[in-house]
Amino acid sequence: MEGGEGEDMGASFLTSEQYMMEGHSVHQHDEEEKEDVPHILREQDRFLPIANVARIMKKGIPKTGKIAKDARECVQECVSEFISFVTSEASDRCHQEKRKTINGEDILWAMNALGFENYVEPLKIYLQKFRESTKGDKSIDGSLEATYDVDFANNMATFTTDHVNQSEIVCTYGTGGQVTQQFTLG
Amino acid sequence: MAGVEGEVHVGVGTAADEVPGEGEEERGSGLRLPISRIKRIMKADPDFCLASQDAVFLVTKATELFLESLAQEAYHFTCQARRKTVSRRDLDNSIETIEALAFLDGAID
Repeated sequence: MEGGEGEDMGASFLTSEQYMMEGHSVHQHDEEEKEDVPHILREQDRFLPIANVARIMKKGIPKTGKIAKDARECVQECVSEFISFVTSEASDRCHQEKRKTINGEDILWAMNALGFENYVEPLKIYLQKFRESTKGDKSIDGSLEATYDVDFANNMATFTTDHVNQSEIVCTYGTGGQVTQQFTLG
Repeated sequence: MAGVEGEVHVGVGTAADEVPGEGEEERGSGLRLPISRIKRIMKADPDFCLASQDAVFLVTKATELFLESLAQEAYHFTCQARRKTVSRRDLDNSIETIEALAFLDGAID
């Protein structure tokens, strides 16, 4: 294995033109991945995988649209900033209330405080589904897919999911906070 | 440039880099991002202590929503310029225009 960088594990993801985050010391605990360079946060650690990023981005644009490579990379950075931004805000609130563990409410509060209030209602629903599925309810058949369409500019969001009992929930959030919910029982 | 968006070997990641959302992805609400990576980014904050499972899930989901929103907003500018490929400039424009994205101003290259 060569040097401290470009070790085999990450080599396939990296090229020489990429920058390594040298000397970016983070308070990572050792139980977190036993990787060769525990104190250097490599690019793949700082960012989400670009393939996932690109795929989700494409959902936000028409099929005929494409995303330039530099745009994708830029978004990769933006997304990590977003995560840090939200986490930091939630963490502050947590500390203010003398708690040590950031919980779901803190995150939702942070979303609201940071201008992403559009996300709050859909996130609550996603969370509900997540909780239900992690309760070990074996009657749930496989995955619980849902679609969420956002019209950011018009402040509208439509959320459609198949409920575990095969009813469909469609929620549309409009401007002024009005919510239209339709339940279809299958 | 013809929009080459296949996962080519130049650049930040390759097709092999795609991580289909480890762990809770199929049971919950179809997570499309690797939760462990998200957690790692969260932990990079020196003030970060602990987060509940709910919290990490919400951050992951919110990130997915954010990704879509960001692309959508940038695409408005792409359209205005009568292009089909979202460029870095479109992203910059979005960041300057949308208040909620102001936190990105100056945070990226």
